[in-house]
Amino acid sequence: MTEPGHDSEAHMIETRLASALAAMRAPPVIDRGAAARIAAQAVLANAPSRSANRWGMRAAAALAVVTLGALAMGTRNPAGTSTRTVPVAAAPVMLQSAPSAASTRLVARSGIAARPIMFELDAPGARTVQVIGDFNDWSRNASSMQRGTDGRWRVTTLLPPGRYVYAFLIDGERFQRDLRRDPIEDRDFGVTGSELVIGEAP
Amino acid sequence: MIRRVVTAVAVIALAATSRAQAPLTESDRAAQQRIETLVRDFERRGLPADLLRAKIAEGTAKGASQPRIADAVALLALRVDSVARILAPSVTVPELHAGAEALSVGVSAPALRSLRLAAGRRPADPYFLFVVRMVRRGVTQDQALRAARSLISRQVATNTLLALADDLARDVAGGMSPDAALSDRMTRLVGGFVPGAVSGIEPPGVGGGQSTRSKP
Repeated sequence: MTEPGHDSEAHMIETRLASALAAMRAPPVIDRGAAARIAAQAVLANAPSRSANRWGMRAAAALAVVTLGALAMGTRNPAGTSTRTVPVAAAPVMLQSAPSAASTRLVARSGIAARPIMFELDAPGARTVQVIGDFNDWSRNASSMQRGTDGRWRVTTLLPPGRYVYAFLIDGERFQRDLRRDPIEDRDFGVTGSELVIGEAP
Repeated sequence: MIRRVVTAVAVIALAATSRAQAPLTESDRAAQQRIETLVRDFERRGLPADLLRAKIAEGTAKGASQPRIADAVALLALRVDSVARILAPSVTVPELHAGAEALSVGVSAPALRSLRLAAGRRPADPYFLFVVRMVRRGVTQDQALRAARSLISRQVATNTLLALADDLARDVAGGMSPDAALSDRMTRLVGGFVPGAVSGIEPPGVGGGQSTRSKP
C-alpha cells in the first residue's frame, strides 16, 4: 500500500530525473572552442595538483635533509619557524572553476584527448637535455630528452589543449629557448622561453 | 591543511636548495617569509595559490635567488589579485591567469572588464590570451582589443583565434606591419574590420562593414 505523499514524491523524483536526463541529452551549448577551453582549464587546474604532489615528495626529502643537517650542526632551520601573516582585505571574488579532479573528469567525458607533442633540439655537444616548463611544473627531471641517431634531442609528451611556456635545459645548467616557436620574454627570472599553444584536435 | 603543509615544506625546500648552494642570508630568510605569507594569504582568501606555487617552482628551476623569486611571486600575486577585483564577483582560474598576463603587457583594467562582459557566459581567457599574443607580436593594444571584441561578437572558435595569431606572425615575418597584418587577417576572417586607432572598446557589432577583401 502506498503511503500518503509517496506518489507526489515519486512524481517529483521522476520529474527531476527526466529533467536531468533531458539536460544531459541536450546538445551542448558550448562550441568546440569552448570545449577546448575546458581542457585548457584542466591544464591549469591539474598543473598545481601535480605540482603539489611533486613539491610534497621533493620537499619531504628536502625536509629530511635539512633536519638532519640542522641536527648535525646543532641548529634549527629558520625557515621552519612560523611566519606572521599580514592581514589583507579579502577580494570580493568567487572562483567559478571546480576543483582539479572535477575538471579532469569533465575533460574525460568531453572526449578531448591530450595530443602527443614532440620537442626537438639540435644540440650535438650536449650531454643531457631536459625540456622543462609549466606543463611539468618546471621539473628538471620530468622530461629528459633522448639523443637520436641524427644527433638531435627529442622527447614526446602528451599535452591537452592549452598554452604552455617552456625552455630546454642543457647539461643541467644552460637554458635555451626553442627556436621553432615564439619567444617569451621572462622578466621575472631573465630566462627567455618559448610559447607553445595547442588547439583542439581537428 | 595539506596545501599549507606543502607550502611550508616547499619553502623549507627552497631553503634547503639555497643552503646547498650558499649560506642562507637574512634577505633569503625574509624572502622565504614573504613567499609563505603571500601563499597563505591567497589560500585564506580563496584565491588560487597554485599559481604562486608554479611561479616558485619556475624560479627554483631557473636558479633564481630567493629574493628574486619572492619579487616575482609578489608581482604575480598583485596581478592575480587585481584581476580578481576587476572581474569580481565571479572569475575562473584560467581567467585569473590569462588576465594577469594581460595586465603584464599593459592591458588596462577597464579593457579587461569590458572583454569579460562582452564574452558573456563564455570563458574570457581565450580572448585575454589572444590580446596578449597580439600585443607581444607588435600589434597596438587598441587594435588587439578591437579585434578581440569583434571576434567575441562573432563567436569565433578558439582554434581560429590560435590560427589567426600564427597567421599574423607569418605576415609580420613577411614584412607587414603588425597592425596592417591584423587588419588584413580580420577582414578575411570576419569580412569586416575597420582598422585605425580607437580610444576604447566599442560595443559588439560596431566597426564592421568596410570589407577590403571578400571572405574566402
